[in-house]
Amino acid sequence: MSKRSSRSIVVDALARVEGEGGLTVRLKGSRVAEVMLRIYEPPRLFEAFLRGRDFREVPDITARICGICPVAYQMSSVSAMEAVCGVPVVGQHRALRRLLYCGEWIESHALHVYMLHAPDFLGYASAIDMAADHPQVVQDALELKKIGNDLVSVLGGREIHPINTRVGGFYRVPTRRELEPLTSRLERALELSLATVRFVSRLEFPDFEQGYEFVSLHDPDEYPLTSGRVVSSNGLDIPVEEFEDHFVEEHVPHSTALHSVRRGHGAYLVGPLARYNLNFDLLPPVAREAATEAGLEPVCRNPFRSIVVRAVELVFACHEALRLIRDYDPPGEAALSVEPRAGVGHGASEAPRGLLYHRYVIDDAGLVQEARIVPPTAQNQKVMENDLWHFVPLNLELPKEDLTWRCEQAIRNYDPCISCATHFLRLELLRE
Amino acid sequence: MIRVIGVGNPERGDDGAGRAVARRLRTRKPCGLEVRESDGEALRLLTSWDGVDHVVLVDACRGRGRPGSIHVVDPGDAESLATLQTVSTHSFGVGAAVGLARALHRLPSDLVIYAIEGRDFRVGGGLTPAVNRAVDAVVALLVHLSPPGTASPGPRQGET
Repeated sequence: MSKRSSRSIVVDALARVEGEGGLTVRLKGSRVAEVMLRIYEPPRLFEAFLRGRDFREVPDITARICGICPVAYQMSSVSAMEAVCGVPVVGQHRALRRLLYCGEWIESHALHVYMLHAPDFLGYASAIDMAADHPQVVQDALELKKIGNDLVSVLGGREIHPINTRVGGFYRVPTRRELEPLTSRLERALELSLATVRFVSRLEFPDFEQGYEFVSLHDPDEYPLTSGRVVSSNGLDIPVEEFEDHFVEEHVPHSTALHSVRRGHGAYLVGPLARYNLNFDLLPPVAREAATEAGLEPVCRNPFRSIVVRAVELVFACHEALRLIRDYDPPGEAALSVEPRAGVGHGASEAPRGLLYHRYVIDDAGLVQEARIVPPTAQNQKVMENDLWHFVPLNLELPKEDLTWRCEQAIRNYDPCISCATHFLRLELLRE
Repeated sequence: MIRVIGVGNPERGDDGAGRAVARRLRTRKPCGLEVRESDGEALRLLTSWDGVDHVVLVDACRGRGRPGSIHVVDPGDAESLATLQTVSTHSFGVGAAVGLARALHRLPSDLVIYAIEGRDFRVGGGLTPAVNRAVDAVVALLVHLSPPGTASPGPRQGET
């Protein structure tokens, strides 16, 4: 193979990712000469048109960034606004936000594990092809996703772009009676999630591990969702307010999404693998046991096994949702009163795809002067490209079609949401 | 009862044709029709016809004829389904919903798909005049749909 001249893998539009993007891998002999995750979806300029808006409008505007993870955008933005205004949201309001977030994790992870990623491992071009041979698997996926959607609907007012989150709390909080019917359905979702872990643990994974720096939120008492300090596997441990002191965004010509690096360290990985590796002990026993039975160690460095980690997080999300509903004690007021205060607010939460950071500057009338949004897919772009730099040379013996398939699968390990990052995926493998 | 589902994105010009059909049809309070709207996302669409035998789906399409032309799309014809317009950054659309539903034996026993050829799918635009007229034509057609078993639904396959 090393005697072959050069070739390229080109995927013009990657399938089974959210948004529009492509991938080019240029090979010279057995050497990778170039890897470009090309994100060409036009910039969406949310940060620009948020300027001048009232701080209370921001959660509903930023929710529109993504149809898969609108709750994440609401959570990071309300945290930032509440930080500026000095009104921390705690107790049952915070618990309800975790519950809403569990719904989003369930629907997003179920979608990715079964409909977007599993076809890669089972040799199907799409979930539709997979459904013909594995109808029950797809039925289970749809059922699981529906339960996640319904949880978001009950708490968020509707399943897509929910409308019930506000700075200070919610517009309306549910009664215990409204949440109770979800219990039996979440118990079913927990069963389906445990079956999902068993199902994905039997897939075949390429032998590929990398020395990533993992970055996620960390809270001493809970698996991270809505808050925490920013920690890394290389010892970083900072409050969210210091995020931009340590992480910088860079423009690269082939992407309309900014690449993120840790200052002085380079690429880093956010998402399920990072959360799991940095917070394993905080998973409930049922999720830790499922992980162990699936063959996962407390630290996993194989990005292809992220599908198993996502399934373990499904178990966590269902278990956590059940716990939160069981312990729910409706707060007296739907929201705390929040008055604007000039200043800078930082917020971060764990979107299904990883850490989502927001920063806003507002004036004393509560109008946004500046907005900064750093989504997980943007942060993972460099690590996705790095994976291919290392993965392709190990697999040059594969026929072009198979290698292209593997490269796309390697990108889908990250469940990229390009719409968020720019605010799809096609692969090019070029041998010159 | 026939469930009519208007599919599309009203914020993307002619992609809103199906939703416009649903909205105008609703104002006519048609007897025997239950009207719904959908953004076309496959998994939601799939559940939107669960438990219903007779479904009419209206969507915009591209590449089938002149703007404003109305087509009956065969749910069994993948190539035709591919012309249905999915202005979404998410990769599952109407074609995927139908394919998935067939694989899972969750297709309505009677599914008719009307597609209106669009011209302009830009963000923020309204319906173009030809598509606007086609929407009215499809509404007029659906208003006269009879309950299942008493009449055939709509035009022959192909362009009207």
